[in-house]
Amino acid sequence: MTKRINSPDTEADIMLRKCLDRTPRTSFVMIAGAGSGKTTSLVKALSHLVSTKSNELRRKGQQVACITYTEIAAKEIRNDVANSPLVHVSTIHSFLWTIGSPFQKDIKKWVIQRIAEKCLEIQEKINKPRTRTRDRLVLELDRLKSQLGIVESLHYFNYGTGSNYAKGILGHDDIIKLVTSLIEEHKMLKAIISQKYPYIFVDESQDTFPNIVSSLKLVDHIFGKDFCLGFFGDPMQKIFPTGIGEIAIENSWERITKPENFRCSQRVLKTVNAIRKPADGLEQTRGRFEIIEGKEFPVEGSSQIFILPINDFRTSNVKRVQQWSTHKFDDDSWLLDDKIKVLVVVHRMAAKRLGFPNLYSAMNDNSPSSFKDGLLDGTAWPLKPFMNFVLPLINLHSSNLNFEVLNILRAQSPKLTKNILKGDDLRISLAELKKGVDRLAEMMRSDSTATVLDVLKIIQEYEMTSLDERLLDHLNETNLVETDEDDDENLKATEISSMQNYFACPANEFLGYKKYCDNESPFATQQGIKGAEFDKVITILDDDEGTNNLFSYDKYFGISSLSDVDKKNIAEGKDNVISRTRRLFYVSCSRARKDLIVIYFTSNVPEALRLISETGIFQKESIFLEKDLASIIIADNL
Amino acid sequence: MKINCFRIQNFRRLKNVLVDLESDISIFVGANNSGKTSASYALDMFINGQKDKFTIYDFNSSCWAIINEIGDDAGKSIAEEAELPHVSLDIWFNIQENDLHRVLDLLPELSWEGSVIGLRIEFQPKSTSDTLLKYKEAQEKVAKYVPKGEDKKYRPWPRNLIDFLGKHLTQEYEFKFYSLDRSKFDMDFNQNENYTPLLLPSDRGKPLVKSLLRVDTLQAQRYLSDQASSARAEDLSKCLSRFYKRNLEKREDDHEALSALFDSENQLNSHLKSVFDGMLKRIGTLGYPGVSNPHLIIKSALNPSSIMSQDTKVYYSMDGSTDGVSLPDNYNGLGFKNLIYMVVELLDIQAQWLDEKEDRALLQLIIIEEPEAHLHAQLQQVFIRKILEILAITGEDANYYSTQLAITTHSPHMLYERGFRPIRYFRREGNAGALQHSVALNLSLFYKSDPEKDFLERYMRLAHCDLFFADAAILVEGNVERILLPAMIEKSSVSLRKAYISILEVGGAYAYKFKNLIEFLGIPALVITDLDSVEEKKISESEEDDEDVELEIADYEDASENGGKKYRLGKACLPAHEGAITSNQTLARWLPKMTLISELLSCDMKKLIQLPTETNQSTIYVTFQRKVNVRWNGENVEVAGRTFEETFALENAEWCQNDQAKHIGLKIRKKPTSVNSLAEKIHKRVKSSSFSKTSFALGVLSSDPGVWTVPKYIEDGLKWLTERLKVDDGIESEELIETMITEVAE
Repeated sequence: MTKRINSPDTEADIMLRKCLDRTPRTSFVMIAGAGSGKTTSLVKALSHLVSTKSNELRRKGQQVACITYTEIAAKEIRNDVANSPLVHVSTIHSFLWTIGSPFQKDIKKWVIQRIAEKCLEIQEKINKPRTRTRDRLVLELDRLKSQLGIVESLHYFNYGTGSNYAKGILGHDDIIKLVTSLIEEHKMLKAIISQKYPYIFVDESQDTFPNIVSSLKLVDHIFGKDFCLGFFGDPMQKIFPTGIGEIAIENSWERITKPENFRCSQRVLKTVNAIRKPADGLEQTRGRFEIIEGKEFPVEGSSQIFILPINDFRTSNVKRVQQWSTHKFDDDSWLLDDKIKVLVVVHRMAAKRLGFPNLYSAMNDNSPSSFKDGLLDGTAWPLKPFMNFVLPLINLHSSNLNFEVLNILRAQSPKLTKNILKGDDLRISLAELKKGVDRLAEMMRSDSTATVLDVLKIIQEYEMTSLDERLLDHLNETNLVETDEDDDENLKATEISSMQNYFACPANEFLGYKKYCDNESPFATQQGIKGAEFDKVITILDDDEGTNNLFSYDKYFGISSLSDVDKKNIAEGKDNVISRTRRLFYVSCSRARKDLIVIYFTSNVPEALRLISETGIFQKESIFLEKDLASIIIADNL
Repeated sequence: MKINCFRIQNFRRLKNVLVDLESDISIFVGANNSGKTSASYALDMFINGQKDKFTIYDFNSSCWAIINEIGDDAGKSIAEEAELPHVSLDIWFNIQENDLHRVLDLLPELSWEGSVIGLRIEFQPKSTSDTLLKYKEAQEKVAKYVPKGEDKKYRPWPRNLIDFLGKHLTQEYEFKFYSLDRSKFDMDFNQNENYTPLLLPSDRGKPLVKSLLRVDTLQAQRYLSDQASSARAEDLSKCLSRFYKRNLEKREDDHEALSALFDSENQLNSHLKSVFDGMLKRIGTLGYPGVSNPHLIIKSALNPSSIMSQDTKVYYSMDGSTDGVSLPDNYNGLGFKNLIYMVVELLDIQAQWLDEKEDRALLQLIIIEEPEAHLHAQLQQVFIRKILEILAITGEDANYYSTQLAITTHSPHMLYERGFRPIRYFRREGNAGALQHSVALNLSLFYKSDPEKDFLERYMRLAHCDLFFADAAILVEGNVERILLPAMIEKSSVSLRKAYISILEVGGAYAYKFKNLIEFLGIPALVITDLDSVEEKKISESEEDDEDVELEIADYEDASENGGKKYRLGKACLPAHEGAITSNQTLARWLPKMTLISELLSCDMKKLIQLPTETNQSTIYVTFQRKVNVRWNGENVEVAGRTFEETFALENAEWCQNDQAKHIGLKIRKKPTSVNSLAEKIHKRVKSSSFSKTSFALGVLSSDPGVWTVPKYIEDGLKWLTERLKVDDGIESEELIETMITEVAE
């Protein structure tokens, strides 16, 4: 990746520099569409400040703060500004924690108050005459009250992934609630923020929580003369329902628009602009250029849509579209997994295509959130025996690498680590383990019907690796009543049902899951690809796949009618299913550098054809139906 | 931001000492071994995190017994969760609104509205029980080498826990950092009970200290001399060259200078070649073992900083121009050179701090140890007067950064220039041994409260008094006593000469004004004063008689109080005079608080001594003329003299009336017949205008000390002081440590 800092200035960059040079300091909002190099502008602004204000910042012990959405983005920006100590780049959570953590006394007060609030809520529930879960609630109340006592004796709170007050750990959500409330309540903290960070830039501002934006605005409100708040974002790319979307401009703030799009080809840019038009009308210009023989040329690219019926052949139809594309573009890479990106609404599609639908729904549907999150990268604890033991083992076994197999066993099997084994004993143990390995390999074959439970039992029987205690509890159905650790009262129940579903999954589904975890698959979700870009993108629109009703392409295109709630939201000017789906569509289409294929599965193909043609998002000759696929196949057969 | 004060606990002789700092300059004074230097050492060691410098001897002596007690029964100590002693530094800062973001970790809470924040750096055991386990293990390892038999004294290491820690202190102890809440401390920054300071996360403490405070010490320049003999001896040129070197990096692109260097280097090389060529060739014929083709070249590698250090001389320009008459560095006076040297060093220290790009500390504390070395009085005063100007921070930085100075000194001259306000007086307390410790007193507090402060300050300036460095003070009536006192000490109490005694010539009336200061300093004091008997003036007597009154001192009230009774002072008279009273305010109002001469003469010894109390550490003894047996003309009579001179004449009657002693001016021409008439005649003589006190004193001094005796009241006083100082401290601190160590070791 070329250094962002070296790319040429755009008009917006120059405007922004003027804004930063102004005294008193002036806050601003930069609106920059997909592919506009929003982060480039941010990095340029940072380096402008570093080079013009370094003496002042150093003298006053100040830093420019830059808040990013992810730690990966933070790392990139740190790299871009050569790790300048004058720039503090961090995610919102760690930024807030940096500000708030010195005030441990105030944190303690807040935690105590928070527990008290929770107690009150539960008490109210208990008091309701028809509460069915009273016993559990009473237990929960006792637990909170005992926590209160422990918290009173704590001196230091830390920041971790999930809140555990008794251990002095505050989770992500609490950090946000805590520090924003501290900022709101205390003038001193506002003063400190403006003194320590006279410039605070927020990247991806559209996805920032509204209460963070409002508390930062409070700082600006009081100390605005010496304080500059800068938001870099695109309301159109707001994906998460918790984000603020558009940032309201305050008096004396500056609004800077960056209209260029450096990413998308001309065709894709037309599509993207057409999608955006009904929203804020921002029309992006320029488009992608490529250099041929030393000269710059705009990339023409392509953008087409397939409107296909919802039927049982959806997955194979996607494959057919890929084949069609190889013919159409005379480019085999459409069939190569690492050359394309398939954007789906949810991972279920990926799970289906890669062959682990049961595993996916067991761990995802109505399951604890730690399972859901851990499913995406293979870190959920129920998956670990497979990820850390079974899969590596059978992989080595199938390649006949017996020495490495033994290494794994030596490291993990309690049978081999128990005592120093001698002669015959060792031989017997090894023979036993060999049997176990063979049975596992058998069970994991693609034609096997063995379940996850079968595999785990074998592991247990042959003492091949030591299993997590939580897993053992579920296997042996022990200790499943106590609720001790977590806040959610129904957690244990959901955990139990999820584990039962999990045990019933075919064990060999892990083979596909492994590919998915190792990012060997071409799949990504439309929500999870912010900032990413790919040459060839296939975006799959399929309401039937999704399980939530936040998005609906059928409603967006006008094929299904809007619900009363939808109508009400639209009438009240609230965020609604149409605007949400439009944004999702915008984001996923604007990932394509060159070629974009949208596949829309719908129950009413003719109607969809009519409506989509009217939108002008795609050129008439770029809209295809199932019959077009057939013609290719036929041509293929000839 | 400025340091408000700091408290050191358990560090060397500083058992628990609070030291206030002035916002600009503070001057640490005190007798030798009172902890001035320890205080500055502690700051350096704690702030600069010099864990490795800590040794077991840096613990206050009272800790040693505790350490060994814990070690002697390690099992029990572990069970009882005993904790080894800590050494700590609490440092309190005054901060301003715009420093808030620099001190986040020290702000107690968000609703806090104060301006004083505190940080504690504690040198503490990582884990006492772990240390004890290791100690036990080490002991068990060597248990078999312990010789059997009572008489065998040898014990292998570790003999005790101190012995163990002596080797492993840095492994077993660590620095921890705490944030302190001012509201949990009392007026004198003593921690409230039940308050636990907040431990700062281990990764935050050090950077925090570094971002707040930088401590630099300019050590005493004891070795700077005209002869370049010792390692520290360097001339001003070298000192400047270091400064040059540090600043050179900023000017690396000065190509003109660099090209000049390049040219000279070439020329120099050909010069060297022509000089050394023959010699080198000859060496070449010798051959070197193991090297087949030896080839020597001498080349000069010129770089600007080495030129500065070797080949540049500092010249003192006599007429202020660069090419006029000038003298090389080493032709200049040592004193002036030292002054310049010190200033260059200080500027260098400051420049190092100001050049720090990242995380420059908000405050630099520069400790200057004994800057008076090799500076004569006037230069000392120039130094102390100008140093703040010289170190002033200029430009934008002035709004954010500041410098504080702490100077340790033994020089009275340094003090006069600045008055009492910046003085921090270190006082030794406690008896010799483990209980001995020091306290630090803030003279500015005294200054605020004492009504006599202006007088005292003026007096101090005038008399260049060394009271602040003394082990004890002797307050005398006048010039005569001051001149003769050394001789009298020599005669009657030789051992007093070992102590540093400040002799103040103040007069009976003014001695009283020193009461508060001496009590404040807490040093033992001997007040040698006079009876100063006068007639009591009757109310009925007319005011005109006032002219006859021989007022000893002109400006004090003519009525003295005692037990509610008012006396009016009349003419001077012999002590034996019926109903005589004293005009001496010290006697009437301080000790023994008596006015009637008859009472004074019969006063019990105990009433003349003021013993230390809770608030007042000093022991004060007032001595004045008592009735002594005077032998004259075959008569033995008990009389008391009125003044020193009279008493001297009476107690040395034979010698004084001898012709040999005529020069002292006390010989009465017509030999008095009785003791009483002698006393009367001498009284008149001493009163008369023809009597010169100075020639009396010089006369005595020029005589053989063997022929006269020290007046008894003075001898008594000196004896008392000698005893008193023996009690105070007999042993020097190093000896003390030695003995302690051997004590605990055995």
